[in-house]
Amino acid sequence: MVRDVSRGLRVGICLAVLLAGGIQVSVAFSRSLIPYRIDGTLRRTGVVTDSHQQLLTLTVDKTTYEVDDTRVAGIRIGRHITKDPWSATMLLDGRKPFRLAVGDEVFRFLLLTVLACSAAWLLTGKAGRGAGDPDETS
Amino acid sequence: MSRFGAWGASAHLVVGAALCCMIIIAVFPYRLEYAAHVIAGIGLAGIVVGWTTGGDRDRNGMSIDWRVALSVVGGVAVAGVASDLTVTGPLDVLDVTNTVMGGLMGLVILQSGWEVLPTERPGRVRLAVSGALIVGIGFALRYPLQHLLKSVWWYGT
Repeated sequence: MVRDVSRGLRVGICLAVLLAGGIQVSVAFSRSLIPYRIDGTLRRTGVVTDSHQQLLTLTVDKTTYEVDDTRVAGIRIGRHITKDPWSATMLLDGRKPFRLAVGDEVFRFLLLTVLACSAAWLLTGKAGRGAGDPDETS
Repeated sequence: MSRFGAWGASAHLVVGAALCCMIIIAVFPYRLEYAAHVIAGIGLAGIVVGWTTGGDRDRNGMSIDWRVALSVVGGVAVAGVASDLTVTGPLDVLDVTNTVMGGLMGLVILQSGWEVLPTERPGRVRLAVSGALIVGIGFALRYPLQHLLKSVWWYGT
């Protein structure tokens, strides 16, 4: 069975794929702003190039966030933004609620992670099943 | 024996990279840099596997083992960070993770075709050269091709 991928390595590759996919999903999720605590004044908004105008930047005081909700482009510069961490609502000027949404890239990355993990498990198992070389056992 | 003969592993890697690229573009049609980083990672995996699987490590041939797997993941991660710090920057966690994911997919693609993985130097050189070619295609997709596609596809001008 020298050509077999050991079960441990097979599981290791799948876990590595899951970890990489988890980081991708987390980064995409962070673009909803939901995980962040924000308390400051909106200084600038912008667009990330090469993103088909789907990814914006929001600079609050000295911190710049990437945001995948295009509605934030409508927030007026100079407004005070407050939000608690893990809350899906931020307040503009302390009173007007702005509901945050999870972007569709989160679900796309989730789909790709499931596909990649399935492919990793199925394709690395192929060698194990066919590993017995008749010439070596005779 | 592969129908592609001595180019079996290289053909395997190229076809796998093309399939991955098409799937990612289908899922993220407006984020071509994701596909670019993933296929660059696949190409880097080809280079690292071609580089690391030589010698008389295994008298019966070769397969992916922990040494090769860790070399691929480590090599691709370092290359991804180094690339983002220099040529393809600024440093972006998602770019590096996409490249590492590509490296893992390259590992999976090559392991799925373990029976055609080369053990002699010429075959390993072919695999590494194919990997370098795929990295080049990823780079082209990241910059010139993306700019071209942006103008004719995204904006229709």
